[in-house]
Amino acid sequence: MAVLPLRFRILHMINQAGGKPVKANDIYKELFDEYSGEGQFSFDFMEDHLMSIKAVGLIDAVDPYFDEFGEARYQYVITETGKDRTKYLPKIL
Amino acid sequence: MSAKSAQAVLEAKQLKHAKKGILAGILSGVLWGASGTVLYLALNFEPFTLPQFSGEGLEFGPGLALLVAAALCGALMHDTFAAIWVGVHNIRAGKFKEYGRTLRTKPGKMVCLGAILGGPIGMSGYLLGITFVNAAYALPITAAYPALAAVLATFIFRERNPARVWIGVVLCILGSFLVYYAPLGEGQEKDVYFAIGMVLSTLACLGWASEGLLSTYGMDMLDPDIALGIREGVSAIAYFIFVVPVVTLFMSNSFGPTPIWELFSAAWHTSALPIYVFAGFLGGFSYIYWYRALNMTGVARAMALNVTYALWGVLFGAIFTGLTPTIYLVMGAGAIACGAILVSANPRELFRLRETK
Repeated sequence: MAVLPLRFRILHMINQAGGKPVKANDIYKELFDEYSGEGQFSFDFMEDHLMSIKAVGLIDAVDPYFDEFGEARYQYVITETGKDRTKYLPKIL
Repeated sequence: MSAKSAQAVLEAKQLKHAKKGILAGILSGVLWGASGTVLYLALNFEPFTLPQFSGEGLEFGPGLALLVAAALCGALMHDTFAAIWVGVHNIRAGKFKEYGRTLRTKPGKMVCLGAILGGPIGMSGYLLGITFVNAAYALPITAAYPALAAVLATFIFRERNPARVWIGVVLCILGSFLVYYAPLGEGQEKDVYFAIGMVLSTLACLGWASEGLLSTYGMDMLDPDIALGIREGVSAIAYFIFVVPVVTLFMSNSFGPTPIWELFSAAWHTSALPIYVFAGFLGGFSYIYWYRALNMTGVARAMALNVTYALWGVLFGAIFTGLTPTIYLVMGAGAIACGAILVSANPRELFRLRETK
């Protein structure tokens, strides 16, 4: 069951990768079980979150690629600012 | 297909995202200007025009108490309906569970604290300003909030600001003086209520500036629609359990009967109700677009576009309230908007979207 707000959880997941780029498709697959029953959870919506978190400098977009459906996607890495903001994650994680 | 062509596709996508952010910022300004005008117009409808609530012909003290009651009733109605509109919007988007999750995080709690500054202090000051003077005068004064935020940040967080910011602050101060000292249109005269209205509009500016300082810290990680839903909800609750009872007690003891609750309950079955529902819609969606713009195109651009409500307020005031804008009012509102834009962003970079990070 999801315990974090979706945007928080996306940041948490990218942070957990420890500086390795994470593909947008992998983030979606990983979060599917946690949020799939909710109307807010779609690939487009998740990508909107990713672009917004990037716009405020918490993550960086790197190494673009085409996914299996021929769509251009980015991979994402956490920035220093993003790492610092993860201090706001609840202690239970 | 190469990584290079993927990059080109994605850059186009990001540019589209930033352009949508610009549009959201402009919409936030237009809707806020419109909501201020609608809130001002609401005062011309029942229950405010009923003899027991209008305050016409009363001495200063009891008259002031009735005006304060009208303003706070307006603020209470506005924030309640804005919270309902935003809540409906979030439930339709399947985000209901995000409220509880967000409230359990530290940034969520900061939004609650910001809501108390922005709602009861900011919104009350704003509504009192609108009630005491025409919205076209109150709106430009409140639009100076980015300048005040910059000054507060200098003293509280020891932030260093470039010369551009200080030029913006000076422009906002000059603009405020122009709005304050500008002769009013034909048939209007400045009285003590005008002075009080201007001071209270400045209080709104202070509330929103401090809300901005508090909310932006940690807000980046929250869904803007949810942050806003919490903000409006907490603000409405704060009015119900704290602001209205305390102000009623204080004003009734000091100036005369202050029937905020009576106005509030009468407003539900009089002609003012649909107007407040509409004002809450405009205000709620103005905030939704503003928070979206903050996330999509960056704080600087979003704030710069939002503060154009100073000018929209004058325009809507002229069209819908019969106000004759004097050249001083237009110049003052323009100076405040330009000053706030200078404080928020470097004008040269405002439209260089390709460099949006």
